[in-house]
Amino acid sequence: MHNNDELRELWCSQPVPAATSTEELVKLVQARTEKFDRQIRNRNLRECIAAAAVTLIFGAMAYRVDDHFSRIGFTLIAATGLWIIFFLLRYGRASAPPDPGLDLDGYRRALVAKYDRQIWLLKSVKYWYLLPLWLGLALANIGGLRYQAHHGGLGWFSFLAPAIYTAGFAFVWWLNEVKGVGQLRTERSRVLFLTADSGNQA
Amino acid sequence: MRLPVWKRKSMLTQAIAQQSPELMQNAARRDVFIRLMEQYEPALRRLASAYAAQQADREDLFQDIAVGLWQAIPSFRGDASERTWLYRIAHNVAITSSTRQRTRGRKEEPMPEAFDAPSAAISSEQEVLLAEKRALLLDGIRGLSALDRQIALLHLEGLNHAQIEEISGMSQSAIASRLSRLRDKLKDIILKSGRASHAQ
Repeated sequence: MHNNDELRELWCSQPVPAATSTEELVKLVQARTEKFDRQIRNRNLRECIAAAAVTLIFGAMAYRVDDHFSRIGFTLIAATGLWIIFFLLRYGRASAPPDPGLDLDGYRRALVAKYDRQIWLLKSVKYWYLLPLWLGLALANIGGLRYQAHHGGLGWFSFLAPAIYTAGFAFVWWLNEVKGVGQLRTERSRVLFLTADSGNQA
Repeated sequence: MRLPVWKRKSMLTQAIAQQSPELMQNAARRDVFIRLMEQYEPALRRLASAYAAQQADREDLFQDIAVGLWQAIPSFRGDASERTWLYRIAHNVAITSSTRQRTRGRKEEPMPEAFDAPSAAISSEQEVLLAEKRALLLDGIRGLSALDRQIALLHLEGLNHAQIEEISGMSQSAIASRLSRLRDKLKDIILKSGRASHAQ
């Protein structure tokens, strides 16, 4: 009853929306491509400026403070600012999307590799971003606590600041490693599910 | 001495090309993109309908495919035919989009009315029947795995086994056996549903 031609005819007889003006389409794709590039550039610029500010402020504090612990802590934070700038310039660029001109199996492998790289980046945030900053703050805090203990001003409120920034760091860790990685893993599994049998083609 | 118009035009093009190769590349990319869109837009929209059930998602996917094509044009080396290259990109972008697609919580919307209206000779009853069959076919295709869907769509768009091999990476014999199974499956879906609606 239904031969190939009938199925084809049925498929090709689908009503489709009126053709878009190609000029409009060109403008649209150019705008979308430029917007994406601009967003990545601006994000990296903002983060670099923030990291440079951290380096300058904490570098100046390290220069002026007397306590050894505080000096080491502030120096560590200032150095982390420089390290973050390097890391962003080296790894923070938007990775090139997998070449869509690949066949399905090649594209699946490239897509999975991209997800693995993004997961690795998010999972490494605790080492290259959170840990050095937290350590620097903790050391600087120890210096402050020593000063307060020496001058008799130590109380429960002295531990309020460490508790707040530790909670803040824990929240950033959770955002990256639990929420962000979880979302990427879901998308990665979906890629594998959608392309389930493309890896073992005859 | 005054040069002929064609000579002046070609000298002007050469001068622009020497001064700004990037400008020329962009112009060439734009020309290729416009030509591809003029030629394949209906096919790409049909493809989008096989991956996205809702009108807004279909439009988003169509735009994603257009962006994918725009970005891929400079790297097209002509190793494959333009048509197979275009379908590869469209299917791969569609898979990436499906991975990220969020549920919009809207009911499925039918495809809008065709810009080229069906022949007036077809009675309204036949039109309803045809629309029903098309919807069943679309549902059947959407229910297939990515690879099966790709093969079925390419076949329905009129590509031969060699072209499907270039796009999917599968061997032609594997494509042939898979297509035979897929055709039977799609025909079954249409026939069974057709019988069920007649029985009611």
